[in-house]
Amino acid sequence: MSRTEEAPVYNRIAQARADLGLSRQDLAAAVGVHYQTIGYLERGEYSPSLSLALRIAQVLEQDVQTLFSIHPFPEN
Amino acid sequence: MAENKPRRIFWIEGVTRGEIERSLNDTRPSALRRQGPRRALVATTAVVIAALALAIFIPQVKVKTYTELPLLAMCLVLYLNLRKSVRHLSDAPNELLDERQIALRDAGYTVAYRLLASLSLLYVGLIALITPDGALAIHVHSSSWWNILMSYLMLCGTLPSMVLAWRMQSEQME
Repeated sequence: MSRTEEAPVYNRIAQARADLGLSRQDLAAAVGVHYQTIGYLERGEYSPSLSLALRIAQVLEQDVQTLFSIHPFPEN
Repeated sequence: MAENKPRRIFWIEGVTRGEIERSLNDTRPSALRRQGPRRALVATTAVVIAALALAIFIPQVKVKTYTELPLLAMCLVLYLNLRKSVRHLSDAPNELLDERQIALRDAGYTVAYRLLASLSLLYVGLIALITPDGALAIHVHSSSWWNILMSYLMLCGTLPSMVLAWRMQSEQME
């Protein structure tokens, strides 16, 4: 992988958010980002900073390593 | 200790907090949120800005003037729509954006700067051609520098929004 390529970060934000009954807007307001950013994160089109990942994990009441991974999560 | 009031007007960026917040939180469906129409807007703006500079080759002064004014008006309208299409990301101060938006805007600025550096050479070339000793001097009116200046200023103002509008993906509607 070249230095300019970014390794994908997989996440389970959509699933954890749905489990808590939160909308994208609710989660966005809680972590202090734009609601579209939550969409980009859930689709894997944007990898969050460590600070944002920790804030999301806190709001979704999960460990950060449960929510984010550099390896794909197994299909349910 | 007195708390700092949040700034309502960002003079250097040329925007107000209200217009940025309204633009960022606007959830109404709009063609400007899709990549296709955004790119069409960018292409149209580029053509109009180029036409403004190339209007120097219109020989009749009256026709030239009647061409310049609509082109200038179109430039302004397109500029305002471009800003709207990128939700004012290209003009917004950091404190009103999140980390993804800041990264997107900064990457756009880098590309816009590189493009501007290259395009500036084209403008310098055009000016060199229309100076009294230039190859095209006989085809242009003496006040032609005005068109080139206006075109260049429009390019400088719109390029960050043009680059962002070109690069941004379609937004997913909620």
